Amino acid sequence: MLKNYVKIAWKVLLRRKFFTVISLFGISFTLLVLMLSVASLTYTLDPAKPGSKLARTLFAARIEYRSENNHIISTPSYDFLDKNVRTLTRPERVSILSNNKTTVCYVNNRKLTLDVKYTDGNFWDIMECSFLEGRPYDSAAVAGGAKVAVISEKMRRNYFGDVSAVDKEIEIGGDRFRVVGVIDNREIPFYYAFADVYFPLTTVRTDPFSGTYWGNYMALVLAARKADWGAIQAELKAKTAEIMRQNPDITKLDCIMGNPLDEMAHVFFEDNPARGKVLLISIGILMALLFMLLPTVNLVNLNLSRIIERFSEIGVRKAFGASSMTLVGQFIVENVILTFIGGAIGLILAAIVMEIVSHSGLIPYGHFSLNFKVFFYSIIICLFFGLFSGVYPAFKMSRLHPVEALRGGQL
Amino acid sequence: MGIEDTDMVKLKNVEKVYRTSTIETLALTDINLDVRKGEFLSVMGPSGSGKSTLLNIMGLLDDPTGGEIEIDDRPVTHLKGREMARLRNQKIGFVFQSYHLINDLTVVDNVEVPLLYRRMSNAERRRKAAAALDKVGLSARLKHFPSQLSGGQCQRVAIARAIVGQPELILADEPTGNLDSAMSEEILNILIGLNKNENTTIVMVTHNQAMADRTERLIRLFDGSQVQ
Repeated sequence: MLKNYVKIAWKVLLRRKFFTVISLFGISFTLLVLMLSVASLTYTLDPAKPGSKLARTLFAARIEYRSENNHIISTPSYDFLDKNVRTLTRPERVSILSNNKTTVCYVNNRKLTLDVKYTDGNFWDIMECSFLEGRPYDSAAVAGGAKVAVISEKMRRNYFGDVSAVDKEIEIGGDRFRVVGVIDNREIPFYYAFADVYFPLTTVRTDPFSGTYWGNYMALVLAARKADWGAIQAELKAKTAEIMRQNPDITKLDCIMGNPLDEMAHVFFEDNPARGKVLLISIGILMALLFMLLPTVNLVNLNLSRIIERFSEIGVRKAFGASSMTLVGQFIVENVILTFIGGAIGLILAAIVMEIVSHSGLIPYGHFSLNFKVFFYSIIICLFFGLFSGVYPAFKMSRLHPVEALRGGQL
Repeated sequence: MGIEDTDMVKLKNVEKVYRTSTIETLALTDINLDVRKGEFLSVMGPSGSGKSTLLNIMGLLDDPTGGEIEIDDRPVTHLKGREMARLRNQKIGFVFQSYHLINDLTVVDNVEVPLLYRRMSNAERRRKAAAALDKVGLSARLKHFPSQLSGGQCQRVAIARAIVGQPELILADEPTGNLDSAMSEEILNILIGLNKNENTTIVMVTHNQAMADRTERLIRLFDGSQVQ
């Protein structure tokens, strides 16, 4: 029966080619935009590949400090992270890294603007970056203040040309560093982790122990299991509560530790971030639905006119024993096939656009790809779109009396 | 075989009224009719006399405004949509004046349509469709599309579709209305053959007296009432 539906769906699509092209254009364009949105949202808000260490990692990248005279929301200081986050007992591993610092260097009289990041050895362990050549610097090298660097493939191209960079030196800010590894820019999983050059934390020239709570650092907190997140968050909460108890002038000290979505929820919904998170997700879904509304209405309209063309077929099928529900099923299957064809076109277009955006440098370090998550969400969107635009016309059709349909009556 | 004593279709005081906000049109009035199993009945009458309405009501394609209908001794007036669909699928085959073939499907796919709504393997369905087409002499046209066939051939495909599920009742609404006399003769012969050889009950609406004369019984309608 399904084979028959597919056959009919295909013939119906071929019957009115112009309409089909218009519907497919509407579907594929809508899905293209949605897929791009999903890709950029997953990239920024939920970047970890399933099963990766990053998927078990909490980000501590925002601290809120409030006293009688001050209210500061910032990234935390090294000092705070070192004393309070690195010392947490529950995580499997903690990494501290700096915010990106922009600097310049000169190669053959050419100025290169670089993003530099200072990290510890654990950073490479948690990020699981793939190395094109060489290897990361380890905790021992960091402890020893080794003048080594990991650079991105883009940096290697700009600095050395298309040759191996390992064991060669780069000069930045008057210091010389030996390159130990080169990573693939496109494999860096998360925008917090992006930089052109990575140095050991111990090579920072300014004293990271500023003594304040806020500064230019963040931490990655790897839990053994995702289920431990709550306990880890509670452990940090207890520590900040203790700081507040010892410093009565501090009225609020809150280090947000979660994923980027949690962080966003804290920014927009300071009072109730948990509800804010739900609200943010709902707003996202609502916007996607609204965006889909116009092409859906268009598709509903095209579907209705297609049904009118097919009155005789509907009448015959009913006369020969098709129940209304069977016909609704047939019509929805046909519509889902149409939207999946549109979805496939949209997916190909999205892949092309993502490749162009990733290579254009339009978004610094932005690399969008059609990963499993985007693909999965796209299929859900296609299915939803197909069902949503098919249900109303199918319902109208199912109510048609067989004799009306055979006569070519009205919907 | 031949005409049996039991009724295939029984209509009691059947009435059909079409209502709009301003006009009420009486399409059928107080029709009482028994069609016995194995009978070949033709229905005649001028245009607008209610012949097609009567056939549609017998075939459960249209609801009567009043009265009772029994198919194979089973009252059907109060059946739900799904049950009516099943009954149509199991017991009744239709042949329409304008064939109503699905243009996007091949001949054999068209004939398979009634079997799609029964539990059956694809191979079994295909085999039965091919056998039905063989009965109407179209086994060489399985893969053709309706647009590649003549009117007579289209109607033979429609008959194959009507008989593929081996229904006990075939309702034919002016099956030769669009055909020339030679083709009409061919179609009528197929229907008579079905009636004689397989004991299929047939009710046929026609305008053609000569054709009606070849059936076992004739009823006439005039202005929605049975006059003969």
